[in-house]
Amino acid sequence: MAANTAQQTPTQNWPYGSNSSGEGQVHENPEWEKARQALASISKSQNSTKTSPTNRTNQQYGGPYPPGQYGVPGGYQTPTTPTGQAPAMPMMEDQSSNYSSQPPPPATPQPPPQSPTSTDQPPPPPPPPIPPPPNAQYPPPPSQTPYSPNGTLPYSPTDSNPMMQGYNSGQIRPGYQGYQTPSYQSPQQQAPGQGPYGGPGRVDAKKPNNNNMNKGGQQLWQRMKQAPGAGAVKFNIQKRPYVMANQNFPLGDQVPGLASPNANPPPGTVATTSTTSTGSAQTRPQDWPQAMKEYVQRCFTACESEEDKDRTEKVLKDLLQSRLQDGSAYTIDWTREPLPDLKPKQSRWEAVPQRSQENAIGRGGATRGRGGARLGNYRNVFSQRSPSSSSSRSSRSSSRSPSPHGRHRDRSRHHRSDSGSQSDSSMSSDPRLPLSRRQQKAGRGRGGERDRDLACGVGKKRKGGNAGLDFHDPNREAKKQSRAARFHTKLRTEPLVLNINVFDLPNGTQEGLSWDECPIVGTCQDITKNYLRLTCAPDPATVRPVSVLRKSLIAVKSHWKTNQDYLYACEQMKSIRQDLTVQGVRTDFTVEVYETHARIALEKGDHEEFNQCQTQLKALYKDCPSDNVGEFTAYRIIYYIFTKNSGDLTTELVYLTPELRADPCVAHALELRTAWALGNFHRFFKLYQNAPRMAAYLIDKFVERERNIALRAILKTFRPSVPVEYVQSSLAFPDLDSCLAFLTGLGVTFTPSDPSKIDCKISSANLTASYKQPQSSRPENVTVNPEYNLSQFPPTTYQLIKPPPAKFWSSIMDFKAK
Amino acid sequence: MFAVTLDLRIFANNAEQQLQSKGKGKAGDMLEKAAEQLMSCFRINKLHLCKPLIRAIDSSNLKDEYSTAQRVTYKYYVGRKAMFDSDFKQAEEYLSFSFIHCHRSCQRNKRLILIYLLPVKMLLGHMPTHQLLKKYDLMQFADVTKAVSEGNLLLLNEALVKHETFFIRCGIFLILEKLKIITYRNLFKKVYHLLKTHQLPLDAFLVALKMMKVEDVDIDEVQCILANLIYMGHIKGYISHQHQKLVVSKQNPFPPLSSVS
Repeated sequence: MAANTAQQTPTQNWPYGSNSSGEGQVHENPEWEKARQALASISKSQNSTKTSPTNRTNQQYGGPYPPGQYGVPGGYQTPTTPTGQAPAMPMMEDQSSNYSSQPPPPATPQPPPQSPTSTDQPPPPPPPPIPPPPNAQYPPPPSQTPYSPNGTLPYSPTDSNPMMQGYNSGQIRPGYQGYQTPSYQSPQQQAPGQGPYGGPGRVDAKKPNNNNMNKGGQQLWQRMKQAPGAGAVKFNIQKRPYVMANQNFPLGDQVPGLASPNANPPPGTVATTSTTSTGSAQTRPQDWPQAMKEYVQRCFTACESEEDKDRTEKVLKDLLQSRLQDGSAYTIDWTREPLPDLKPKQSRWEAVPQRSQENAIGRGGATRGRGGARLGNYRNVFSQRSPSSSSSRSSRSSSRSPSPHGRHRDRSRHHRSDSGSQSDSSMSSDPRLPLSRRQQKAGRGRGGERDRDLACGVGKKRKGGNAGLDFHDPNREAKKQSRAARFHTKLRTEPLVLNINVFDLPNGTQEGLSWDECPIVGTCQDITKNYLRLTCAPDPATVRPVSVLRKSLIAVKSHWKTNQDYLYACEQMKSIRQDLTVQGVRTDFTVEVYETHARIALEKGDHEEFNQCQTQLKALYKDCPSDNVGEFTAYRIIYYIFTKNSGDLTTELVYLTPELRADPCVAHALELRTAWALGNFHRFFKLYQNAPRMAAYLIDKFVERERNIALRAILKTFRPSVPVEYVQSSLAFPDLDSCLAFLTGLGVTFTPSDPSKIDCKISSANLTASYKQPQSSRPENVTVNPEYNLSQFPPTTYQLIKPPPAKFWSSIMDFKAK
Repeated sequence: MFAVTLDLRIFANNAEQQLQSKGKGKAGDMLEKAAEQLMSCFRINKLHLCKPLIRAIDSSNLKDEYSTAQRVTYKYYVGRKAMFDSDFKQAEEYLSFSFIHCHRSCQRNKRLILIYLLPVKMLLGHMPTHQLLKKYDLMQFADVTKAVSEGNLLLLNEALVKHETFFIRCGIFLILEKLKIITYRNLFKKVYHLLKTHQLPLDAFLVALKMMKVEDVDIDEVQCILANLIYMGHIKGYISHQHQKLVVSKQNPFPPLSSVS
């Protein structure tokens, strides 16, 4: 147990400990490592005779760790046992003991190797009996057969021994057996995994001729059949570095004690499976017939969803495995092969339901948990594609394979020293490699690897558990939850960025960053909420769901109508916007919120908020076109006029569709622009008076500027004088007083004889002299008040146009209600 | 955006090296880089990013050491920027330089330069010949040119609508639109010649505009248009609001466009 815990702990610690320790080391999936270690230890103990390196590794392990450490392998096995987490613990213990004891027996058990000898026939008798349920589901035998031929020659004895031992031990302990079966499976999977590491291994599987292949074959075989122990042999080498890394992690051990029990069992299985799948996929594909690869491709392209892919992967693995084993893979006309029927097989593999569980848990628990689940899926996808090729080997691994994949990569770094060569080579051949590498890099760069590992671990564990055996572990759910909770809290402390990274991975697309991928569903029921800029990951407890936000919006609107309290409204709107953003809600409601806020901000002349809303709306309209697209496009055009940004104006014109041009708001804005560009102030102010909706508020921002320019032209043009009324009507002053205030503010002189007329010559000179006068000194406040202006102009065809604010808002709300 | 920032940085480094080494070849590189960056500025529609570039080049004292090709490229972009900034005089200067010095075998480049040089020239009163437009396959400008010189507002509107896509894509639609002012001037000049008087009733202009199918104009708008023309110096004269008449100068009431502004 102790050993198990220790191993597990490192992995679990990863997330936490990783911070302190070098990320690179930490990144690899803990579970994986554990599994490998466990296998390695087993195999070492058994195989010590065979592979000196493996032995060394084991010894190293053993050295630092007491016998219990050897148990690590046991821990590993336990994880392999898919379902029972709790059982895993006991198993761990058992195994550990077994392992410790195992080393001696290694030489004895050749029987397992025999199974390999039966090259074509999958049926290695031992495996099936041990894990009866699992066997049926998992086709370990097939995998064995391919390997068996190779393995028989050189390795058979040694490998077999370890295998046997592991097996025996499992058998000896009844309770254990059930678990072993899973472990057993895992070994098979691992074998493929080894394949990737040991290029030869794959080759062997396919082509029995090579001695090297023998090794690989044996390993695979062992793993396949005898599960943990057998697989260990090969793994040992790989694992060693791994193990070392783990040892370095010891820090984690403290924590691990807690985490290990829960997490380990399932993860181990998953990891093993995954490795196998990946390995097989990577190594073998080369030897496979091209037609078969294409067939696999077709199968995956036919998949619509990730789940489908997962299922297909599993099915394909079984199918291909059997085909490869009996050699029919090379004779079959793959182009005519019907695509696999997913449904029935799905039921067979319980992985799908499990996944859903995972997801559910992840969500409930925390974003983290989720990320993990997703990662798992993601990896599955990966594994699916390349794996398809490998499927023959790791038919079972399909469900698990994905997660292992992820791990594989993550760890690949660490492992590379030993197993790295395999993984790398395999990866290079793999189309997805780029992705995987990217992931790794990304993870490293951002320091998100830990998270990923965690997530992966979770996903893997669960999957592994499911895939292996669903039986028993009453406490499983509880453990999962507690584990999820653990992750939740701990992860929380980490920067949000990491989460995002994790989320990205599942999609496999870099754009995955979008919030859609990591929805947070708020639970806060408060209608109102003060805006507080987020400085850390959002807490669902303080985020309001959309249903509440709808009420909030209505409340804010009515409050705004009655109180005209902009500060309050702005804050509330911002908090609504924040909650929407955090939850990744981009719907019509989001559009409505932004439109509402933009209108409020516009009415109060809040540039900043208005621009923010406009920017958001521009993006939102691409997804959720609203009836008000024209309105806000018009605002944008007018805003460009305000900023005299002819460049953006031109760009905007380029993207105006004919339909948009026909929109009354846009048409008005375009006319306004034309009038403005030509200096046709008469037309400009006429349009100003007839501005639709809230455009007048926007024009208010620069109406003074335009009036100023227009007045200069007037004063320069007319001689000897011009009546104030003309100026007032031309420049759209609401009344004479405001016009006079404007004129006097500019230093306009009136004719002595008739105060209603402006002495143009003198005024023009004055105006020119005061040209540089700051505009702020002008006392033309009256016209600046938008409400005032608006009230002057009767609403035009639009009912929503420029009524007093209160009416406007009520009408907007009615409008929306329709 | 990021790319541009990066480019700017590279450019700054380059410029620094140039200033240190003052090597001829490197100076050429610098201008080339600057031109490239200007191009990217245009591509992403961030003209304000051009300023530091242009300033850096202007402040460097290596101007004469650049090769002609590099100067042509550089001035083309600077001229375009000046045009978009409504600095037509400078735009004409730069673009003319580019056009004149552009190698004769680079017909495509010359055409590109012309697309921007033509509107600028027209705004300044220089109308392109039909042959030029034909030579460079810029017949989209033919109607525009004809309409402006004739004061045919109707034709101008039609031409602008007809080739709107092309003009907007080139980013010169807004510039060409300003030709309307020139067209008004030419139209009103015709009215003046017809009436042969210095005191022109505003109704006459109104009729002229209506003839051009500008339907929704009233006497106030006529005054407005005239006021703009007078304000910009295209017409020498004044309006008597009391008598609703335009009184033009007896000498040169419509000064040549090239002398205006």
